[in-house]
Amino acid sequence: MKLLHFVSACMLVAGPLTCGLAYFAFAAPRQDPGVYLETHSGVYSLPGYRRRADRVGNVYPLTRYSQARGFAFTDVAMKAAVVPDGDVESFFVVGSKAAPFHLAAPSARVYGFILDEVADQVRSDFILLDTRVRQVDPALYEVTSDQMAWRAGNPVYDRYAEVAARTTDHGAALAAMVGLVIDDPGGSTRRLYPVRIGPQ
Amino acid sequence: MNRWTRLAAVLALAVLAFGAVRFVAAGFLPATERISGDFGAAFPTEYFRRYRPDYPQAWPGWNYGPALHFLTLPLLLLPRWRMVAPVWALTNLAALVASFVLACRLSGVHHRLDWKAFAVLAGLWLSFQPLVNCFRPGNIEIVEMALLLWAVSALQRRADAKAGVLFGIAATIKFLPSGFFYWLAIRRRGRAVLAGAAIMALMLVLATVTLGWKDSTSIKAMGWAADTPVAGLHELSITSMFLHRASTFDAQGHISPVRWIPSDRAVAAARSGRLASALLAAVFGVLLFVRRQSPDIALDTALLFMAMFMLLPWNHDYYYVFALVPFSIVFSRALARQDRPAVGVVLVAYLLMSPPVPFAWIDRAHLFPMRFMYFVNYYDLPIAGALLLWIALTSDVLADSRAELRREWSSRIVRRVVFTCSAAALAIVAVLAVPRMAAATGATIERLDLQPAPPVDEPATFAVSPDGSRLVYVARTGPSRALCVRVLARQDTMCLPGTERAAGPFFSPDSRWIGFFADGELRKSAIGGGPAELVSPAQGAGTGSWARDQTIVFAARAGIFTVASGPAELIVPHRGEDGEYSSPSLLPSRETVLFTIAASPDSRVPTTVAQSLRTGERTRLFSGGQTRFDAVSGRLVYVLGGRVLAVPFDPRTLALKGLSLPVAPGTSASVGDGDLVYGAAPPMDVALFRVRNWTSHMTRVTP
Repeated sequence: MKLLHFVSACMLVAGPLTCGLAYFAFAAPRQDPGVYLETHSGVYSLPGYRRRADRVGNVYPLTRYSQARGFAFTDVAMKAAVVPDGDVESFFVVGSKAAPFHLAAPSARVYGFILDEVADQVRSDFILLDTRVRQVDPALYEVTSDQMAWRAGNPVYDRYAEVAARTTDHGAALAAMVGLVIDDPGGSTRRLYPVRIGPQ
Repeated sequence: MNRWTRLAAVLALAVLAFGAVRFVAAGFLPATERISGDFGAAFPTEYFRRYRPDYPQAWPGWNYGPALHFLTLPLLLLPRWRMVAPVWALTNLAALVASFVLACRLSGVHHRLDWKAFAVLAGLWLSFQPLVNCFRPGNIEIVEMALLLWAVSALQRRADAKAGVLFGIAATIKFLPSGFFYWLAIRRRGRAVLAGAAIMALMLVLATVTLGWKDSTSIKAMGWAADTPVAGLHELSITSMFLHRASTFDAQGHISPVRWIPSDRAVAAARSGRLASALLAAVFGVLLFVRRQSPDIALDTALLFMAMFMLLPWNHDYYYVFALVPFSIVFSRALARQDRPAVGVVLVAYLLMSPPVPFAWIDRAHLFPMRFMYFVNYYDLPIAGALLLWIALTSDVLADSRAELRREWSSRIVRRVVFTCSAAALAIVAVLAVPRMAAATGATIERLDLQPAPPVDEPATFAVSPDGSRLVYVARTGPSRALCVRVLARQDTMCLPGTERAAGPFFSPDSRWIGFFADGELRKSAIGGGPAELVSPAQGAGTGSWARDQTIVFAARAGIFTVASGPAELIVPHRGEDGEYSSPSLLPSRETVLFTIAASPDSRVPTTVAQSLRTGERTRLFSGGQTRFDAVSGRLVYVLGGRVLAVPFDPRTLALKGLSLPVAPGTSASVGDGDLVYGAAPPMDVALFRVRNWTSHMTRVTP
């Protein structure tokens, strides 16, 4: 085996692979630190809200949340992602060395709640769902709950039906939400990642 | 016989014995007990199900190419289902022995090697993990490999017609060996090409008559392959290597599906892999062309076998059984010329593709957090091994092609072709990457300073031109209102004459005309000015859109109308129980109209629906109104509760393809060529805002 031939062969094989890598480096969206939502159709990044950790118990005064960056929305319903068919499967918390966002993921919890979009009010208490947190790799956690699915018997579904039955307004203005809540590593702030499920 | 020779003999016998024991225990014996794999979808299974009550499976439809089903058809003659597995295992064993003999002969150096070399080679064949993985379920690749090697052998004996028939049969088993026909063509083996084409045509006709293409699960799976090229960890092609590196695995001992975070990474990775595969095919296609007169067809055959399992959009780990052919050729030749570095490189490649110890043994030792097969796949070790084998093979090819390369390179035409292809490859990379790079620059938001200003006491009414260059809006001009056109790149604004009391403006697809409603009529006006022209009476209409075929769709009290050159035609009559219809638009197929049903006593929020013009079937999409399909981003943009949202949408299936994400706070919005303009809600603000590159704004991560 001559070295010249071996090097030439390496170049012939590596050249096209390098072109593919170059394209990927330019074209691929990065797995940036943050929270992602997995649904039946894929995994998407989520915008979040944060506030100082001055909560009382598990009650989050949602109208006092504001988005971390970007537009000046004032309420959660306005910025919540909407999941068609309510097929929420998992949240992913992604961190990195520069943004160790994942460090607080083990204490993450999933809540459910009902909002009235028109009146901009919370129409239920916050329901703590059975939450499972699993470390997938050193900087990636999966947070999920079987109770996030939109089906009878799950707390958010049942609470939505209960609120819709007793409200005098029409139920179409009600929004069923699930939200991932995580504390920042320092503990001074906590974040909410809300997602609207249920009827739209 | 000296001591070293005796030691080599013992070692050779040990390798052979190890391989034989491993193969019999892990491959042959399980294969005689039951058949799964390819045979589960083979044609005769339908007949087994019908005529053999003891057949265990339902027929899932036929898979792969038709020859797979015709080759397995004689198994139907067996009287008992339990006889099928041992007979098929023996068939595969015969094919394996034939493949080994033919591969050794093809290497061209078999007469220079002693029995010890063949014993080692046979041992390496038998202990090759992909071979075991292929043999155990009774997959067809071993028969396919034997057919191809038989065809190459016939080609060497100048029996071109026979070779063509064999190539044709092999190519219609799983379509993998199609590259052999390119090779036959450039080597001017016309009879082989014709015979192969004839047998393939015959197979396709027979498949049409007997199997029927509607039951072909391969054809059904093509859509799946386009959307999710790799579903798990067992795929090992160039494309899947890109996908594996772009995705996330579970390193905690759980075997879970591959995940891409976010999902769009998979699309970019699949494209990267396909681009690299296409370039590899082009490079080695050129190399084969340069060697088209070389008498040594063994190296060409080895290259074509490499392509069969490396360049597919997806494959399975057992496809690596084809690596045995290039491995045998390169290994035998390196042994024959006593080229120790080459032998070492090829053996390293072999070990990467197939670790020497059975996976089950390693799993029992609990050395890794996941099953060893997944560990191997996790790090793409087989792909690394295959690439190393490919490099060793290419090194041999280059050494054998020195004269041809020198001769071809002296041709100016060839030099120009090479330079042009290289430039084209770089251009393709750039063209594919530039849109993404532009998107990566992020969104910018600017407040549009409009003079004259829109009315302050009602939501802004406006539209962005499809080319993104202009904005038309309803402005207050003195005591009345008129349409004004703003060039977005500049501050230029021009109000159009003859548009007094206008409402609901929209652009034509070429961005040169503006449609609007005034005084119970649908009118149009050129963007450069000039008198407004009457298009149609439109009593009570206020919203519309202009389709690519120059049809205008508008909503009025009686329902939704279209107008082209003649009078308006009612296409969706209003249903009594519905609220008012608005914002109609035709989807690209022009068979479905998208529109909003306003809030009614039964619903406090507007609803977006899609209705088929052919069947009248209505599909409710979501709560929200003013919905438009943006073909550039593939999203529906709509307004709900004072915010603008967008959701990926498939206009063919009318399916929402992902999350609906908020884009901006606004009560109205319009998109054009990557820009989104939204109007803030009065009385807080009546301004319009322009979001450039708005889809990148949507996907921004906010930790």
